[in-house]
Amino acid sequence: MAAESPLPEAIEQASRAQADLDRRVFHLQTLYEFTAELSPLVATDKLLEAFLLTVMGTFGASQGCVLLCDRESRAVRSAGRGIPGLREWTLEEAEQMLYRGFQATEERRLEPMSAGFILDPPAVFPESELGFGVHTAALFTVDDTLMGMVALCQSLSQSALSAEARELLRGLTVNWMVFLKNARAFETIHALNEDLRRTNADLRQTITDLTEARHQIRVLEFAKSRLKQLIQREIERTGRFRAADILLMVILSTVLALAFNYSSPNGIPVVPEPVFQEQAPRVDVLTAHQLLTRGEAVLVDARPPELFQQKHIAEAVNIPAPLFDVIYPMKLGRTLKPEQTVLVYGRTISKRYDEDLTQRLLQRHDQVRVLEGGVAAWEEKGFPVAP
Amino acid sequence: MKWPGWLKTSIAHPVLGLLLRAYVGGVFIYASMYKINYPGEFAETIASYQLVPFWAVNLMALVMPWAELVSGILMVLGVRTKSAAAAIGGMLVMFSLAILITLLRGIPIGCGCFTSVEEPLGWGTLGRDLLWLIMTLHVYFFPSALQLEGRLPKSLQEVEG
Repeated sequence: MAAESPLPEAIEQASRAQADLDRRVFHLQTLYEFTAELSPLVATDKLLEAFLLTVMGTFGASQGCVLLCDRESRAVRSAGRGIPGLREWTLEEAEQMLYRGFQATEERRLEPMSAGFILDPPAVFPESELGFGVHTAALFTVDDTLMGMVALCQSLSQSALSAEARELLRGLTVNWMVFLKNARAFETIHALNEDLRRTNADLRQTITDLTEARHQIRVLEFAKSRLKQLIQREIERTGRFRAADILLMVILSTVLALAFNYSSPNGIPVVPEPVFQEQAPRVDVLTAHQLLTRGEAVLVDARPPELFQQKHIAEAVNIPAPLFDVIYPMKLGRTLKPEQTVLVYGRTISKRYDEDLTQRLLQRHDQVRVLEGGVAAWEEKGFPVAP
Repeated sequence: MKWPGWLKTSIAHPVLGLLLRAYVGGVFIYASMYKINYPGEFAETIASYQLVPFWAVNLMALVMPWAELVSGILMVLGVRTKSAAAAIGGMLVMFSLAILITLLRGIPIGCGCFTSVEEPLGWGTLGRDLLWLIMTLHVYFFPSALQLEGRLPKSLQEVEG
């Protein structure tokens, strides 16, 4: 009998060892699968969800929540399952709650990357605070600025978590924190990258603006140099005499004069009329003298009175063309016989008084002739002049 | 002969230049007015000098007053002052020569400088024209104030600044 008794005991021991081994294998399996599940996740919110689901599933809890308090970004993130209307916490509220939790942990103080269990969760977190009856709660610290809590209701088996289960929960939490830390680093990198991208965009815009500004400056510089050249040239022109200016003044004056003369009531022909008129019949000095001697002609000086008074043919009467209508009737109109010839003389380099007067005389008398050579030719032949 | 400093300064003073510019330019503007309105009378005056060929008398009577007006305005404003002074100087030389020749020839006519009805041409007329000619030479050779184009150097400074 004595030899039989150790065998069942050994079998029982072996069976316990087997069960223990199975549990450990299960724990390792859980850790492995959890790690594999977290591997592709980089967003904190998704990590929270995955962690809560894994923990609730592993420990058979129907209600649970995870709270993460980030002092650096002053944000509180949470995830809950099986709780009707999970409340939102402010940073202050979350910190107060965590502080209460730390007071009630086994260790009182947690090192970075470690987790600790609250000794009497229902007392620390009443049902009204989290929305469900907390049965198990653990606090964790990633670093000085990131910490949080995971809380579960009683498991479906109604039994308290064994020491091994608690170790598994601690292991899962620590493992999860590694991913959480990575996610945070990733988010930091992402934010830095975003910032860099914005800065790059700003820089690119600045470079574009600068290039445009440089182009504008070049255009303005060119305009400035052209302006300088123009003013310089104008200054040079102002300071000296230019024949071109005189030419311009002459052209301008001519254009203005012709335009004004065209529209003015006092306008005059640009070229004197005698240029286009048919010349009156001529008579030479000798013939004229004979006609005068025979009384067949009268002699008229067509020049202005001043010139007439200077020197004229002795027998001539002075009838200046502008005064023709007044003087003609007085000096010639009454005495002139129809068969007599009127001999007209008087011209200068600038004015053909004889032609003007002849045109007027022809309107009243048939026989009108111009004496060729005028006073000079008359005097040359030795005929009398006066005074 | 050395000129006293104050005389030199006075003669070269820009205000004197401005006064002469305004006076001579003003005389030319005034002289042009009647002649522009009554070119026929002015043509008679030109003809009475017996210096211009008869086919050119009317054209000269039309253009000359406008040339006086344009150069007079330019001179008063101070635009192309040297060129305007040269034009006015040229016209004054021409007038003086015409008067001198007419006086020597003894043709009894009116000056026709401003209107057609004026005192007869005399040596005083020639002296007056020569005085204006000296004033014009002053405008040509010395600087004068308040020229419209006098602002250009300042504009250049502003562009460079």
